Amino acid sequence: MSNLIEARGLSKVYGSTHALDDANFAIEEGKIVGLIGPNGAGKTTALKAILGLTRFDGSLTVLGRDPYRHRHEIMQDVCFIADVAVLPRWIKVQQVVDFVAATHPRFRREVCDQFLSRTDIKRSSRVRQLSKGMITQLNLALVMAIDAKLLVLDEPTLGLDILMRKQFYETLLNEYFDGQRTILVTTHQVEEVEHILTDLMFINRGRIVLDASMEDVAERYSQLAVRPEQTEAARALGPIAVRQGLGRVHMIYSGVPREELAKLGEVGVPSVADLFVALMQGERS
Amino acid sequence: MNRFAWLVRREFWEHRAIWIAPAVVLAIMLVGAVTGTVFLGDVQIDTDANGANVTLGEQANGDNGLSKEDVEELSSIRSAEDLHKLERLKNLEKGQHETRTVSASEALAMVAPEKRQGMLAIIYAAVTALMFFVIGIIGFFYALDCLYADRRDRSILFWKSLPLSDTETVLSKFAVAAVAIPAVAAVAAIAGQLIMAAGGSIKLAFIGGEAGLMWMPQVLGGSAIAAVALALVAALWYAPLVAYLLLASAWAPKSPFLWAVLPPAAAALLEKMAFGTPYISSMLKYRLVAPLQAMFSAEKIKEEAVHAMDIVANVTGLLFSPAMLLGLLAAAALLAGAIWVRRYRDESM
Repeated sequence: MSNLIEARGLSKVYGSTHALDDANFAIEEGKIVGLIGPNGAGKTTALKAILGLTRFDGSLTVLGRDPYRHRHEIMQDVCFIADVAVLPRWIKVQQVVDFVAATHPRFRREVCDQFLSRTDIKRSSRVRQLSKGMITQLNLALVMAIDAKLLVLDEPTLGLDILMRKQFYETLLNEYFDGQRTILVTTHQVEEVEHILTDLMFINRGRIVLDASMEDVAERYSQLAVRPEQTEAARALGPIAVRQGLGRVHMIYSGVPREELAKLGEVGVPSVADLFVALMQGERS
Repeated sequence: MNRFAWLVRREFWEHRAIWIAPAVVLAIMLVGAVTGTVFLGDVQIDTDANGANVTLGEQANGDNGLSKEDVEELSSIRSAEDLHKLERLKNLEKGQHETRTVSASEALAMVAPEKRQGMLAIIYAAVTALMFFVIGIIGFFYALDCLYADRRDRSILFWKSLPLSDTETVLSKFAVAAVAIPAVAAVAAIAGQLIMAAGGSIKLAFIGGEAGLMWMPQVLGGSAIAAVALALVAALWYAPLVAYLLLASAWAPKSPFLWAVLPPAAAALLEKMAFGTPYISSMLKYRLVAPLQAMFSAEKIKEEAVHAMDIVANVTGLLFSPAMLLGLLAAAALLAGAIWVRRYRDESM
């Protein structure tokens, strides 16, 4: 497997803030990677660097090229949805489909038409007349019709209701992802992407604090619902996070054998959200 | 259709004023020409003066309350602004028994036959000037907005997600402002001339005049050529201005209008304060008004022996001036700057 994206010592400074601070990561072909981080952690800056929209220090290659120098060339193979506000509001649905069809060599009009025909979107509407959900559907129709190697999604479901969010990811997984394409997604709504990710990256203060496959995460991190009488023993094993649950204390461990934990309570895999909170709190202290 | 043509088409989708504005002006002209009472066809006629040597305001002399300067002004209409002045002065005139306002076509019928051709050429040239003036304003705001609008609404991220280079994008906008808009102006000006001809004929038919007066083929042909020549000259002459506006549009963090207008205004003001000289302001003014001024500059026009082809010669004369060459060099540099800024400007979200 070759690396689709490779970053070494990726840095970006805005004034006195380090949006990216010596970040290192690699994304392989065929993965669905979640890039998760608190606000201002550098997610958007990382995506912008990958999309060739911002200058950066260090080395970064996307499809083997420097995205900043070769933006319009790599855009033949890269698609992105930033968030719902991005489609120009004055454009008509028909116009945007025609325009992308005319300017993108990998656009398959029939795929787009077929997808749009299943929605309530009228071809003669302007984007400003569409609801948020419809704009996302239109965006998705455009992007899914492009036979790209990398799809970048930056908070793609922001402002959508839960039905639309679920539908969005289902469509993406069932109709777009074919095991060869690569998807890089950032979102705050971690629970909804958790089950579709193959890899997980946490970013905080411009640094990559976790970069692992979901299997590795499941192997390395465990969550223990501690039996009350075992609390002391559980603490002794050095949890990276302690959370007071309903009636029970939950502790998250990194690299502690499951068998050992099983003696103290019920062991499971922490959710991405819990793990995220655990690691971010660890960073802070 | 190739990609570049689609990029140009896209601009017409977004900036609909480019074709709506001339359509509106043409519609107003149509109404004005048919009724024969409104719009630039109106001229001042002294009915005591045998109806012989009358042209656009020329006959208005001292005894009807106009100053010598006013008469000068009226005798050489240079721009739409002057037309407004004409309108205003005419209003001052109301109630004067020896004058009355007639439409261009009526004036044409009343004037001495040997002066008709020149008068008609000036009427059509005024139509052309008005159309270019209106579309020039549209073009100004188009160039100022086209690289800023998508940054303001953040759709720039969508456009940049397509495999189009920034050079293509900026050049397409330059092509719209410096080529397509002058071409629209030429077509609209010719349409305006024909509307004036048709409307004037209707008016003449009503008053029992000779309807064919408006259709002198040498004047119509020459006026159409003059409109095309003006478009060509405007495209080249205004290229540095367009490129400068594109640069401001690509660069301005906010309010591209202020970013575009304030620096030259400040430069002119500083020069005036520091050296007491007006070179910058007169240079800027010359750059702005030269093509329209050139249209009406010839001595012949004052002598009323004008031929439509004289206007063509006046306008194309600008092509071979050193100012034209310097302007084109400046345009190339400014355009490169606009592409560079569009390419490398970091749109922080």
